[in-house]
Amino acid sequence: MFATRTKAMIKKLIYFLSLMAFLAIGAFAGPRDFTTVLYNADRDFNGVFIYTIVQDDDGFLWIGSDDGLYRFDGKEMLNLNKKDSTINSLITASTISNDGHVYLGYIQGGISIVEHGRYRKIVSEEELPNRIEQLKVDESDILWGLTRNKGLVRIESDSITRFQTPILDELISTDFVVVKNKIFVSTDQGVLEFRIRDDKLIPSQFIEGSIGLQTNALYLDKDNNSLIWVGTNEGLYRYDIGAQDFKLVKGFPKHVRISSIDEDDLNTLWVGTFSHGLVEVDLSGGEVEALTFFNTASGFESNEVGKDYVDNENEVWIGTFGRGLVQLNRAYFHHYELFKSIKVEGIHSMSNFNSDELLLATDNGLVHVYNKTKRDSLIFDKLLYTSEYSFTSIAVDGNEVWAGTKKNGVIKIDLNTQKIRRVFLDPLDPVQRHLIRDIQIDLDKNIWVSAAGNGVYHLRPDGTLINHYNTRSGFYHNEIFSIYPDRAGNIWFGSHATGLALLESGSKMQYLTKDNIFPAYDINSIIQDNLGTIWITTAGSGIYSFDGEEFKQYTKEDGLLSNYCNAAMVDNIGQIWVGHRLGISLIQPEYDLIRIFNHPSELGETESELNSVVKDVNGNVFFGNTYGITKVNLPHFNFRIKERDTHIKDIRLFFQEVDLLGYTMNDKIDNILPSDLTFSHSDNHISFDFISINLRKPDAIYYQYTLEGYDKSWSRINKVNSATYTNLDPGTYTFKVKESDHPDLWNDTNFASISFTIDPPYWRTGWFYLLQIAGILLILYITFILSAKLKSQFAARLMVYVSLFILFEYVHTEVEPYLEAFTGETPIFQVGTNLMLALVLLPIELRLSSYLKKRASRREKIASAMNKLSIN
Amino acid sequence: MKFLLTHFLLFALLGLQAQLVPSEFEQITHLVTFGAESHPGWGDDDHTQTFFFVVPEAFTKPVYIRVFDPEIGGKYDEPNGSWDTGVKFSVYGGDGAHSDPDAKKIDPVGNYKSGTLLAAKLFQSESRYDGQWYSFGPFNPMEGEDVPELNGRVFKVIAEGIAGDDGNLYKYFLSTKDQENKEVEGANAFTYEYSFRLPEVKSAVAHLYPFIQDNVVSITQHNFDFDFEGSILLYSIAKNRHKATASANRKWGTSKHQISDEEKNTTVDLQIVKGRTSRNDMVCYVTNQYDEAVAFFSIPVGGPPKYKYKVNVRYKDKGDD
Repeated sequence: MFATRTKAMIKKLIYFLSLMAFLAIGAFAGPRDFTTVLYNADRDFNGVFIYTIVQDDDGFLWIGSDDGLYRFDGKEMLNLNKKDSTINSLITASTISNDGHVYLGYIQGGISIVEHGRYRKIVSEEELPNRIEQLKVDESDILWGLTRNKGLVRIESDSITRFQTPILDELISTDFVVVKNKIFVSTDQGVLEFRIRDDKLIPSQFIEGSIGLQTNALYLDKDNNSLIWVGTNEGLYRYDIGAQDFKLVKGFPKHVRISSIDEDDLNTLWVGTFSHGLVEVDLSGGEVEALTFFNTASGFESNEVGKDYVDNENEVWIGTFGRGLVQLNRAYFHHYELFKSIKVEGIHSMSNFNSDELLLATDNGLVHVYNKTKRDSLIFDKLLYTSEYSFTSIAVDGNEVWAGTKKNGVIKIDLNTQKIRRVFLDPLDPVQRHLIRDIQIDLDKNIWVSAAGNGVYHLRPDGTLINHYNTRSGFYHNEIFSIYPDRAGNIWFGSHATGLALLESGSKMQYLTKDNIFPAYDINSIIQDNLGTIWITTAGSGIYSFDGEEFKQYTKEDGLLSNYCNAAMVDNIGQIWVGHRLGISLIQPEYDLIRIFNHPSELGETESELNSVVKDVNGNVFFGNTYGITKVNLPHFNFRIKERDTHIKDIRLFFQEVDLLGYTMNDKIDNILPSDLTFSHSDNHISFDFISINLRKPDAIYYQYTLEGYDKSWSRINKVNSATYTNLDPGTYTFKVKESDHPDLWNDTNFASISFTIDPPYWRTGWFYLLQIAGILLILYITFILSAKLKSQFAARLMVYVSLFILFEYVHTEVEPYLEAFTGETPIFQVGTNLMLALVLLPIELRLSSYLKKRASRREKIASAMNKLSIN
Repeated sequence: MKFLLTHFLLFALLGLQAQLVPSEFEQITHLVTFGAESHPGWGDDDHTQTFFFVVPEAFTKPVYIRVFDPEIGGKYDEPNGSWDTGVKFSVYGGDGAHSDPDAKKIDPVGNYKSGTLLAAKLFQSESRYDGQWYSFGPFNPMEGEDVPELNGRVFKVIAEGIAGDDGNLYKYFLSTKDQENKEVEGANAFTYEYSFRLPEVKSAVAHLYPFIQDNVVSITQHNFDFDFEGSILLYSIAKNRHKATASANRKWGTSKHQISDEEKNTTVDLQIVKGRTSRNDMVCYVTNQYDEAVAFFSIPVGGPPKYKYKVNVRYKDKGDD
């Protein structure tokens, strides 16, 4: 009895703890660093239940929904069911083959191939009358299809092989992966392993540990092809194929029913669930490191996810079950507001701490920034025992913090014991109340302190003075705003008004501005990039780089947001992030470009504090602001400029869509558009629709185009993705279009093109010219014949005149355009040319008339002679 | 007829949202399915129960089919020795789920598992599901079979006793949520053969509501294993307390009843009145003159029938005087 009661109590306790754990997840988790876009009727998308999402090599996103098949290019959500009745069924599966073809599987069975816009059934519904759950292409480019209750199908070069095994007829199959000669199928009773041998599917067994588990999704790890992630009705599992080890992923909630799994390039699993929304799973060594829940409690659109998909640009797409399509955009910036939340302002300095944590130096003490275990949201923890100090600068060495203050000089804080000790910079002056501008620790662990009006103090780790650099000792200035110990052991000093100084390791001080080596006078901060280049931000002169030999200046004219640069940081790929009062500039040496970010809605808070910037272990860059911090999310990952392909996706006539199959000799279209388009002379009003696919920011693409045969150069740069040409003359043209992420960066060899012909009208064809000439010759011939027979000289002359007039008018009409090109449309020239023709016509007419007269008189003579003969 | 049925359904379902099966109209405690090795004398003739859920055509949100106490063991179920029974619940949709003739038969023969199998789960004695709801889904209503005469999409749930000889007592709920019972507005449920547990107390009345279509001229009620525990009565717009034949232990009781014109396109109330306090599981079905099974609707189409009393009083015409 007692045992039973104890058991019941333990059970209740477990339930309680589970509930608390669940609530804790909900309390700390939230869509951090992401924004969402819902695709609904406002965005021309009427799908509610999403079954499948796949992106083809061209970048088009294909979405199978209850409202049919959609193709999305970032700007246009095209419902293909409305354009092609052959789709005609709900699409439940899709995949892309290695040659770029899209394959579709249907709820009623059957598989189609999409050949650049047209659909062809390769397996009919009658041949495969069972819902297609998944389509996948293996390493050998063989297409595999999994049906719900009727086994697998393999399609290789149009040859179809059915693999129907009794066990799959009994179970509900949900997903599969092909790994070499093995196929793993998730079913409602566990994961089945099959071997492919001699074109036969040999069932092995349920993988151990999975028996009885309802498994819904399988995902073959991107980096480890012997690791399969298994989504079940009871949490997330991993299966090591080699070790045949099937085990629960610890940390992932066990009560969550998984519907779909995908992975991004950051080794993050995106797990869709049937009723708990989307889960971002950061992994470390196969175990959960951090979880983020995207569910209705955290403002996400739906808790019911049918399919999640990571696209080629690492954006996550979520096909919900009942709420349409959601695009999850990784936010490039995230602003953490700290004044309203924890009453902190003036984040003047930041430093790394404990490898993956941060310390902030603020007007209201130090703030510890960290993640809770298995949660990725940042926690900001005020160190209350430091709150009486207003900090300006910090340098962290293990658990010891060298901190500069506004009124209390330098203090040293032991974060373990929470003890604070004053550091007296100069033994001769024990009551110093300096404003400290900067503190740095050099390679020898010695401390460099800049005190306002007192120059620079060089201290040992124990705080004893090594040297004091001020104007009395010959130093160039007492107001040093920035000190930077570089990786070579040199110490750089930046002052306001007197510029830059350098204390080379083992050498004497050099005053670079004073010696006219460095041109700027007001230095704000100094950093060094991965290549060793020194970057110097200034107040009013932009930013300078120094590669050891020469200084290079970047200013507003070069694209910088402002010449007043407060802080700078180099990210993991050598891009320079510069904080201004107005926002942030990004110098991308790889592309020789500068980009700017200054919209408050994007940055949260634009103003960067002087010299307040840090980079965390993951490569995120943080700028200190007046009322918070702005995080630049994974700049080395997110801010690359991508060269994309441009696609000419449609040609319209007189702005109307037309079936282009009517303008080609081909029976089917081999590309998005046919390559042999020919239009009649009347279809000479042509619009080109083109797209370079950027699903995240479709409006960020710049285009230039040209029509060879018409344009003499590329068009002006614009963001409109269509071009229209009117009144095109007959001839052959080539339309070319190219794209760029930046208006200053173009690759002239990367363009899309299409050639087409506009046929001449019949009256400008060779046969019609011949016909006309034949007609005129016939008239002349008839004139010649009749004039010989006509008795009336007047009638004969008239006929001759009319015939010649027709001939010359024809010549005139044909020649006129060429004459116009020469003479222009000036009336006097028109009159002149007509007169010339008339003058040409007159002698011919006179000569012909004379000839006809002679011929007539000769004929009369012959006639009279004949009469005489007959009389005689 | 289809037109009429559709309109009757619409009429009946306006304002009614109860998708609990058995519904409050029926006053039946649980549905019952016994293990395949159980004796029919326990009150289940074929160890299988098929139910159909109708989701209105206009409903476009995910639906869940929830099962209360799906496992066999613990508080609600009928033990027969040790708990050794497995019952498999399978959800079907798509073409043929309802329209296949075998799906409408009272016995699990032929292609009665027609349609596309959407979800299935085998339950045995598992304490975590004891007295708990288990949710199948979410399902897109479009995955149900389109049945125009019902103005909706139909999902089929088959509860099948796989092994053992215990009785599984359970309920269904068609819900819009997976963690709670939230009605699908305008939905209904029906079956062609009802296996259920009668209310225990004496004089309690269980109601079954077959809908009489306009081509029906007579119906035959069949009940199994009632153990002569009371009476079976028929009520309708034209029938008041018509007695039907009750069955003995392990036996079928059958009686034929004529249908008048006014009863066509209406619901009949088949009342099973308990004569004593006991636990009793039984089976019922109704066929028409063509021996086709007639559907019992969980929510009576047009509402529970009320007998129209005819007062045969004729006033004399003044002219007769």
